[in-house]
Amino acid sequence: MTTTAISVPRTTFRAATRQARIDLRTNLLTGTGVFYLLGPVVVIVMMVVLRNVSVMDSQITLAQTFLPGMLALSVIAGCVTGLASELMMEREDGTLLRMKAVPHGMPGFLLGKTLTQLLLNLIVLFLMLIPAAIFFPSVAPASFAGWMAMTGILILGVAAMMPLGALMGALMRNMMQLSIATLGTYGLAAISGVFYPLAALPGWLQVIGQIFPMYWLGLGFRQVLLPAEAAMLEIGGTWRTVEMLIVLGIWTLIGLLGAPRALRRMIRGVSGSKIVEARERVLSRGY
Amino acid sequence: MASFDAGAPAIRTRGLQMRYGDNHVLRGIDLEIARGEVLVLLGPNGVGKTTTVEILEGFRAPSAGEVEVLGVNPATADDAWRAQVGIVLQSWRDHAKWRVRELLDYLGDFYAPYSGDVQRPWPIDDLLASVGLSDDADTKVSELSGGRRRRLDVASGLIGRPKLLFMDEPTAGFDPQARRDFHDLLGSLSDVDTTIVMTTHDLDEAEKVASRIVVLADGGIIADGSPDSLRRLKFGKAEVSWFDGVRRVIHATDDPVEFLRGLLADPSAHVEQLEVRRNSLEDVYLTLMARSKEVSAR
Repeated sequence: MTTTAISVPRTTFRAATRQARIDLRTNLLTGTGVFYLLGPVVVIVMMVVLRNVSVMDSQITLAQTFLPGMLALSVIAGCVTGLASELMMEREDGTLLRMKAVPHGMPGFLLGKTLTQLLLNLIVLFLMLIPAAIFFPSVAPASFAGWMAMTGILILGVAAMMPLGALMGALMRNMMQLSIATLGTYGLAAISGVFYPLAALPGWLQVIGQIFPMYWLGLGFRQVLLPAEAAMLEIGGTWRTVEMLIVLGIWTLIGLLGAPRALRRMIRGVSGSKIVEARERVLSRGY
Repeated sequence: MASFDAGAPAIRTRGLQMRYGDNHVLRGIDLEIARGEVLVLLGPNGVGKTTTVEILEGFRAPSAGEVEVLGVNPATADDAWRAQVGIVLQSWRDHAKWRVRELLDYLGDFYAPYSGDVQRPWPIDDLLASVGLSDDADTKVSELSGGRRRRLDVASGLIGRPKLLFMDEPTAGFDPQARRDFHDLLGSLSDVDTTIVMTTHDLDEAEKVASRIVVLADGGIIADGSPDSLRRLKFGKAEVSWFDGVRRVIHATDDPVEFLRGLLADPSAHVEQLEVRRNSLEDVYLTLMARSKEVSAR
């Protein structure tokens, strides 16, 4: 039978959307979906607990700063450490090798991953924002433009953090390194203004916190969610929008420069014998 | 599409070498595989079967030597070449949460641009029926038994209707019926000119499916030929046995045809339940292995 062939970009995109659809389903509509619902519950509970705790004697409550901080944390946990651990697993279970064996498999696979991360993070954002908006109207975006801005910053954040996650996943050699990186990410949350404004911390911790992207992503979310006077609580007393874009831009650049090379090296390295080794290790040690 | 002369061999290697440090896994493999051949690679574990196949698949660069697969060097081949090569590996545990049909649909998407002489991808329902997975189309991959998971792997290697198919231990974990079905499937594939290169530990299987068997040991090819010609290697004689009315007679001979001619022409001989048992492939294989050990011990 002779049929007309369809173009490569079209089929690659079709495969990628199929992959994203299936991965979203297996993530959200199965047992693991509970974890995605847990996030919003934690946020609401914490906001209720913290609703009367004011930040540095201002009119702003910790409940208000907690939400944007959690949003930044969830983007980074998903796109950096989450993606890194996914890639590590997919290197060992044969997913990457399978995609390598398929024409245009790797670009299709990475595009699918990007779509999945983007949609997953958008869903998590709205899962947190919508209940917050219902219970704490003062914390939610005040206008349609505000909602759009939140979506925009989230997409920027995902775009900036995914290459970093890919880079990390490609460089990591074992679960131990990954556990350390994951712990580090949560440690970073403590000095990134997720739980308390960075301005209240000692100067050297402020410097460290400002090196990493989590603080800046949180700052972007705070700018949209909090009233203008909340800027007083930030370092320098302003939202530093330009600096935020520059720092996130630099991290994007690091990821974009490093990730393709590291990914190519990692992909070159996967082979059938490595997968066999990994399977035997999993069978004997359990991880 | 990669330009590929229809008359050229599917695979050609010359002086293929692979070493890891001081360890010479392959010491110079010269191999030519014609289109439509079903070639089975035999050899003990760690002899370089997987390395050889991985070089041919383009997943590994040799330390030295030339390789041409479907007319191009697999290490630098493009996606059009990839579309003509199917691969079934041993230890895939991927896409555990997906359903069988989802995975095949997804993999099939990538082959759609390469439809031409035949429809690509292979229509999923036909493919599922061919590998005997029709009832499992909506089963979660992680819930498949070992043998059924293997059938899915085979299906995923076939989804693009490859011109050349590599399979590493494809029937590990198959029950006898599944194995028989699989052999029939291989037969129908080589009818449509698919070249197949596979490894197995099952010598019966090798004998059944192979048009040619290559035995690797000590980094080189120590035997190469059809299952028939390998069995006739002069390590042993054929056994002719028959019932002469009183007891079973067994006679060992190098030339059973000549012997039978004489036996049957003899009017005084009583011959019932005649059987000719030739050297089994297993006998030959084990002898080859023992010899190669002697050689390397020297």
